[in-house]
Amino acid sequence: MAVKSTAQKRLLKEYQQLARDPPPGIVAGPISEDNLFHWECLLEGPSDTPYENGVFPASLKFPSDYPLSPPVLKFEPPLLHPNIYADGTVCISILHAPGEDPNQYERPEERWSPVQSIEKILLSVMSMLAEPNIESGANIDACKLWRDSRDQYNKQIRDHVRKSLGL
Amino acid sequence: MSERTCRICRGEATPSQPLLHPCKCRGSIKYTHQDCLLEWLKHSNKSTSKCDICNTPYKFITIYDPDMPDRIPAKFIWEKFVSMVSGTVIRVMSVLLYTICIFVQIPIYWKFIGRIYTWAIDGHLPQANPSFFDALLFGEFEFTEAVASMVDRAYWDILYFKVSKFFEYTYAPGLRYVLICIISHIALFIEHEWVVRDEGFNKLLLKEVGKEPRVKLMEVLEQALTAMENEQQTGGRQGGAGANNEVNAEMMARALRDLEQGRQNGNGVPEEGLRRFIEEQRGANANVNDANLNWNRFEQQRPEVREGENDPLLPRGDEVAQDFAFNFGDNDLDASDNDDIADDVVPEVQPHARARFVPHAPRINLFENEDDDDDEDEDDEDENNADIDGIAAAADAEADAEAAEAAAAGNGDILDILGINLNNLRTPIMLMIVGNSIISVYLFVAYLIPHMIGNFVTSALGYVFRITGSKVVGYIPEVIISFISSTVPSYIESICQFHPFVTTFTRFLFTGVIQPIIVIIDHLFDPQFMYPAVMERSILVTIGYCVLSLVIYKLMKSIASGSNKKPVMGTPRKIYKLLFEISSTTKVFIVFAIEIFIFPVYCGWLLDFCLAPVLLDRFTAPNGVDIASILATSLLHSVPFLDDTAFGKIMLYWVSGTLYMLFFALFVGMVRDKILRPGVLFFIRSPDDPNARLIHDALVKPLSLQLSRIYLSAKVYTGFILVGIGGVTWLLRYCFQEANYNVVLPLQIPYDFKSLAIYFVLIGSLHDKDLYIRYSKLYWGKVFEISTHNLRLSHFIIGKLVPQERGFIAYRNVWEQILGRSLPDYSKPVTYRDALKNFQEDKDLKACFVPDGNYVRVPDNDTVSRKYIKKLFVAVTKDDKLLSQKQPQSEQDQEDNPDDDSTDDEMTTNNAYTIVYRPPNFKMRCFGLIVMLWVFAVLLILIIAFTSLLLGRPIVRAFYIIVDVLGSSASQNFDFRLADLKSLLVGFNVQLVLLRLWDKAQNNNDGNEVLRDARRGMGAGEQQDVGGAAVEGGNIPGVGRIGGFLNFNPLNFADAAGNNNIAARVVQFIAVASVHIVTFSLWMLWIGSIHKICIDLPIRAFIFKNGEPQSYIQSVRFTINSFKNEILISNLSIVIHLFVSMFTVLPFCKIQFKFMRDVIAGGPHINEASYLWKKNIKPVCINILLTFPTIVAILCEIVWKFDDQTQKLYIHPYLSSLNLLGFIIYRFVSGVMRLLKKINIKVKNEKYVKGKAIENFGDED
Repeated sequence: MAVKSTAQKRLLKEYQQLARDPPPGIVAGPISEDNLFHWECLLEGPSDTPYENGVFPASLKFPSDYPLSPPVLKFEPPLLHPNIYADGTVCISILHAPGEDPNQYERPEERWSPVQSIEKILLSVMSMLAEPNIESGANIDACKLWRDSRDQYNKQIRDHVRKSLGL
Repeated sequence: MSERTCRICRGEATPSQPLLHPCKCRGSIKYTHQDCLLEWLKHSNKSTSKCDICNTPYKFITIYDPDMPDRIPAKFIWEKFVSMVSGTVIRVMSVLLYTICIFVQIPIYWKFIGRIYTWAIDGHLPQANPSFFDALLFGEFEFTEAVASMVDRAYWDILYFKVSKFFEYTYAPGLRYVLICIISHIALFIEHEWVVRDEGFNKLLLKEVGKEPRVKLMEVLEQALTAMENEQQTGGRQGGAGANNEVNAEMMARALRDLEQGRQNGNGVPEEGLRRFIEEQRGANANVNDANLNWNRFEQQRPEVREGENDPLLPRGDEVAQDFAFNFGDNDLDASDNDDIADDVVPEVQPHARARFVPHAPRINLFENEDDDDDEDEDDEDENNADIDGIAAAADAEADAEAAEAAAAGNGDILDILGINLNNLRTPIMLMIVGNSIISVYLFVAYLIPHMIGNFVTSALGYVFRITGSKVVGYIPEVIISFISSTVPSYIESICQFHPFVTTFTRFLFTGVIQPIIVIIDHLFDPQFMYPAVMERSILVTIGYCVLSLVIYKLMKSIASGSNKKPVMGTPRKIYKLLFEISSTTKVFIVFAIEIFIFPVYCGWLLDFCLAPVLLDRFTAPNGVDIASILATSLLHSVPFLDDTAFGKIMLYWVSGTLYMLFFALFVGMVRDKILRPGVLFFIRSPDDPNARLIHDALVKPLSLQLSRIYLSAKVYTGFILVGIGGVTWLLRYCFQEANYNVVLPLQIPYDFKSLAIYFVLIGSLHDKDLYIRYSKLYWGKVFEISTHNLRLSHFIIGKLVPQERGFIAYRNVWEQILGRSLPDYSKPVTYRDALKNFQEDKDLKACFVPDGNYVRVPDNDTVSRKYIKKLFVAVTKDDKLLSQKQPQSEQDQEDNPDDDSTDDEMTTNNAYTIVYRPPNFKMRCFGLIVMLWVFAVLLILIIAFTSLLLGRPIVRAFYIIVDVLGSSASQNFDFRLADLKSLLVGFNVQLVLLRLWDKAQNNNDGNEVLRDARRGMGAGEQQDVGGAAVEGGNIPGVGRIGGFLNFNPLNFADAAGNNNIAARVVQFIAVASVHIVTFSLWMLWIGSIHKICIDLPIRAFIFKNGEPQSYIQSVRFTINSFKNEILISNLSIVIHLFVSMFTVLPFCKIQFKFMRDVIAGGPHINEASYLWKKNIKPVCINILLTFPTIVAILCEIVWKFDDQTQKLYIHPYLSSLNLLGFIIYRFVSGVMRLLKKINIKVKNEKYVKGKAIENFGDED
């Protein structure tokens, strides 16, 4: 690679930063050194939640104009959660492209900005796992389950965790 | 983190790219490269460039070209100046043109064309104006005569008179008609959309004309198929599109097969096929626009699609697809990404859903379609076609728009330089022409034709009358009129002499109602009658509309019944559908118009009648009409700026009636929510009832039923208003009347500007809403408790079981009953007969408790269904056992006619009942409850009103004494024996302040449990009570802002209100208000003196050099009344005044406007006091200093009172006008300098800018 683009430089910096000083419960890095735009990460389920003890793999795909545009974070396999689409894509405001929200739902400072970083995204996702935001749900079924029958919701997630751990 | 990195690229500083810190952010995100930030700003595409995190606006410095000359060449400045001037001129011109074309010309044209149509109907010009142009300009106004009487007046006077009459008779009514027309048509349109979308509409339609058979649909499909095959054979198209056609053709063939099969089998299969066809057709259509589609894949999955149809998981798949669609939209990925991810989605998403997901443009349509009813597939087909058309049209429109834009850009470039922009001039004129032609056609259809029909019908009827009963019928009206007018009034007067009211009322009834009706009828059927009045015309037009609707009704009937239960199809079906749309829209519109417009106006009219004794000093209209006209009196002649037209009256009635109904509804809502047992008011729909489907109900239920309901509520409202309000007001008026003089009423409403300001202040301080709501709730809770207990309705009404209420107390004799001291033994209930026996046996026993009444089943909440209620209200025992065996029978009734209300299908009902005690004479008791509530309400209002008067009067009196001392004569017209609004409001405010203080004391003592409970119940709204008025001022900007406009700004009280210090508030308020008043009067003084002394006096001195210049010098005071005579003495003076006002009135208006805008829009962070000084007081002071000699002249005038006229006339008038000239020149020059500076900067920015750089934050400190 002769001339590195801004995106590549920044991704490399962020990777170095993450590797040097990893936040607890988060492991992330590019799948291969050749393609910095496709990362894989492992998130530990926050304690005192049904996701506890689980380790959830997710993929991060960066656009070529990163950091001007936000990456896409997707849990593989998908995770049952009110703010995660049924295919695993995470829906939180920090991952939404900047600009005026037509629904006036999210304030501009909550949305993506180059000031944010991968570390912050992953930390936000961790806190999202702990506290779902039911107002802007992505998975209606999960929302209903979470709101109406929390026990079943917790049970389904624990089952999922157990299955993913191979127990 | 020691190293400094850019927060966007995470790179370090380099010599060419230093790190900047442009905002307040600190820490790891403090620094950024300029290029990175600029790129981000460009990318984020926001309107204002602020930091995303700390919201600090970035500061930019413009970097100019180093080659920039010190002095900008004059050529550039001149060019810029020309372009600026021409731009302004064009903008002003186009705004002016738009205004003239739309707001001036269209109303006038409306009136003109309406008049022309009227004359076309009449066949001649109006009686009042025989000449065409006068008639066109002034309509019914007798213009010639009026002008003839004014011959000796000045030219200006006549012109003024003409213009004002033109305005009054042509422009103003035209504007009103246009406004009414636009508003009602918008309402009609919206309501039509609602009606057509309502599910009841289609059901009704299908009920009338039957379902459309599918034969025709098949024909259409077949045609489409052959057409498509032909096209394929010619093969003129390219690969992608060709494939589409293939697919389309196959789809169609399949749909056709399905359809045929369905016909043979007679089951529901074809619908499915059809639906699929439609969807795919849409997909195909979308494909034309979207080259990214992969149709092969689509086809492969098609077999699965069919399976997917029956898959219960399908909706879920749809949802997923939908979510994806939105997600992608959000992330703004481009098409290739879209496809990639779509690939990933496939395994999880149902294939069917995927098929839907792929099309790009009409995605929304598709999902909407998903929600449609399956029954409506024939509609779907229409929609489909429409959609296809729509997409094509949209594409066309887009292309057009682009072309137009390009053209505009091209044009603009050339024409901007020339200073002419044709587009700006053409559009308004085009608009005008289009508007005029629309008006012509509209009036032709909506006015001329019905009028003609009405004329025709009435003259035909009149003809028939004359033929059949030739003499008799024609003679009858005349006989009646002469008889009634000669005999009846005198007869009635002779009878009713004992009371003048009856006489005048009957006379009014006769002259105001009966006679006009007879005259109108007489006129309508008289062929010789030539000049119908407005009333007669509207009757004729109404007759025309009735005939038209009758024709429509008949036509619909004939279409619907013509084929005898067989489905109507083809063109008749289309016609029927159209007519049905019209008729159902009209039906709903009539119902809504009555509910929203006519009903409030009626209430307002009644209210007006009730308020007349409060507000009017005598019951005579200004034109001397008698007492009976109180029925149509209004406040209008006591309110300025509203003339006494029917239009103004109706609007006033509507507003007051709507307000009354609103408050009544709020009261009912409060009582229902907080006081009553749930389910008591089941017969009144609560606004949050999910079953309240206004449009649906209005559409589905028969008109007569709805009208009867409205009639019922009209009766209720009439009773409430007339008895509840009118009874009190009229009674008060006559109670406090002693020998031709009223002691308390009418209320005095002075409406000079000072008082107006006070009203606003008083009303503005009435915003402590929660407090009043809480206390009114307390009051009404108590009232209900007392009243229901006395009427033994506690259990029924407020759900509080009081055992003592379950029966009455039998006393030994009447004496004991009156004393009512002795209490019965409640533990030993007896029957009445036993009680009598007990009284005889036991001489000491004075009272016995006799239970009566019974328990009934009543609804438990307000959302019970109508059917369920029919089963309720049966007597039961305490243990819910039926007392009589009526219940089965009533159920039988239900089964017999199950669908008398079948359309009234309610979505969510909560059918449950509870058992409450119902005393005997239940209806009487309910009526008694209403009466008691009324008494308590009247008591409350009267006590508040009279206390207010007592408290407020001393304050107002003191105010007037002070004002009188200061030299005004404000209290001259003030009658201190009558009540007045000022005292009322002041006293009311005093009471509120006391209430607030008391409330605070109560809370501090922490004693009042009820209060605290009520507080807790209030919820979130209550929180701000602690914060005080500061928060509230921010929360209700309307009130605070209006107050701010009128020298009162609650925001200034933020500090004082924090600790609720009333004294501090008052002091601050007085300070701010007086500063405002002083500023305003300074401005007024300055403008007035300039115009009076510097222009008027010199002109007069010039004109009257040899005449008698006595009086005008003395009149330094600037009075509006004598405006015309004093200021506008000649045409020249008008011009001069206008010119000078550009330097006096215009800056004043500009400064006031800016001030208001900044203070009102600025929010709490603007310091009003300093702003006031900088923007308002300073300019006027400078102006006064600059025109100092003028001021000196005024002072000399006032202090020394020159006797020598010549000295006055020839020294200071000219001096002051010279001074004015100097002032104007100074202002002009400084204005030009400012303009030059602005141009300079603009030219610099245009020609010599090299780039812009972001400034570091905090560097300038």
